[in-house]
Amino acid sequence: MAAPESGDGNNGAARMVTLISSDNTRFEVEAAAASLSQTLQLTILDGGGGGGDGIPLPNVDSATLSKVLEYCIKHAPAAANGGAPNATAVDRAELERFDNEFVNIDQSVLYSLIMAAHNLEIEGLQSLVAKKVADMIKGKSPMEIRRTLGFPDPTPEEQAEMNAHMLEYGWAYE
Amino acid sequence: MTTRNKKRTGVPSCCAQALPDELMTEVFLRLPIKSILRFRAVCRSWAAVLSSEEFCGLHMAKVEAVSAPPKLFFTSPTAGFDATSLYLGSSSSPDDGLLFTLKDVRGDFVDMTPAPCRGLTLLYDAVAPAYYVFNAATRAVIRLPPYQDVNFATAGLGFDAQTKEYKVVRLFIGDCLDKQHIKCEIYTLGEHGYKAKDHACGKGHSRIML
Repeated sequence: MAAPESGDGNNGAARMVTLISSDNTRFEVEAAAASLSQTLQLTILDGGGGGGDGIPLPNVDSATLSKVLEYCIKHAPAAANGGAPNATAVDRAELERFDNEFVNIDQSVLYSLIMAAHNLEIEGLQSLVAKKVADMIKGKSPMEIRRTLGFPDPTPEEQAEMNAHMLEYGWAYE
Repeated sequence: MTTRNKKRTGVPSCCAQALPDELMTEVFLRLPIKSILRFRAVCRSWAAVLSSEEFCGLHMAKVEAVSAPPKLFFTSPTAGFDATSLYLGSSSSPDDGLLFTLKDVRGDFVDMTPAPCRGLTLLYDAVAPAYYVFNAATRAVIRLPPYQDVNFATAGLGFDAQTKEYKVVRLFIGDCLDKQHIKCEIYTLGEHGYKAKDHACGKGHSRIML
C-alpha cells in the first residue's frame, strides 16, 4: 500500500486529522470528513494534519469551524460513495432534513459559514448556504434590498429608473 | 428599517452584505427569474451582473439542470378577438400561466416553433403577417422587422453558439422570374433587417429544421 503514514500509528481505525481554528481551538476529525474540503484534501493526501501537527485555519473561527465540521461529518459517508448513487431514499431524505435544519440559523452565522465554505472549497456546503440566502432574499423588493445592504437612498434619477423598471416588469413585482 | 447604514460596505450584519462578487453570483444563480428581473432595479452594478451574457448563460444552464416538468404554450384570442394572449401552462386554470397579450394579433392565425431554442420561441402571425420572438422566462417580446410577404414561406429560430446570436431563418419561394428557386433570408436578433443568403440551400426543400 502506498498510503502515506499518518505518523500516529493508528492504521487500524479511521485516520484522524487535527484542524486548528483562528482562535487556537483544536478539532480532531476523521480525514474522510475533512476531505470534503478541496483545500484540506490536498494537505491530507500529503499526509498533513496528523499527530501533533494539526492544520491551522487562520480564516475560520471555532464557532464556524465546529458548524462546518458538523456538516462534513454528516455528509462524509455519502461523499465517500461518490455522491451516493446507492443511497436509499431514506438516507437521502435524512440528509435533506439535516440540511434544511442546518441552515435554519442566524444570518451572521450563515455569512461566516458561506465564507468558510468558499475558503475551504466545500462545494456542497457553499451551494446549500447560497440556496438559503437566495430563498431569504428572493421575495424582497429592490428598495428592501437596498436598505438591507445599507445603500444610500436612491437619487431622483435612480428613483425614476426604478419606477420605469417596475412599470415595464410589473408582473415581477406581484 | 429604523437604522440605516450609509456606508456601502460595512459590518456583515446581513449575509447578503459584503459577500465577495463570486459568492453573490452563487446566490443570484439560485434565484428564480422573477427575482432576478426585479433585482435588476436594485442598482446599476446589480443590473450589469444580472443582465450580463455570462450570468444569463450560467443561470439558464442551472435551470435546465433541474429537470422541470414540461410545460405547454398555448394561445387564446381575447374576448374582443382583437388580441391574443399567450399562456404557459401545466395547470388547469389558464389565468395562472398568462405570459403576455399581443395586441392586433388574431389567436386563431398564430403559429409557434415547436420547442424553445435556448429560451426563445418564434411566433408567427399569419394575418399581419409578422414574426415575433419571445422569452417565456422574462416575458419579453419583440416584433421582427417587416419583410417581403410571399406565399409558401417557412421560418425557424436558431442559436449560433460561436457568435452567441439568435437567428431567424426564413425560407421562401422566389418571385415569378425566379420560379421554384428557394430563397433564404436570415435575420439576426438585435439587427435592423433581414439579410439574403444566396445559394444557402438547394432547390426543392421546403422545410428547415433548426
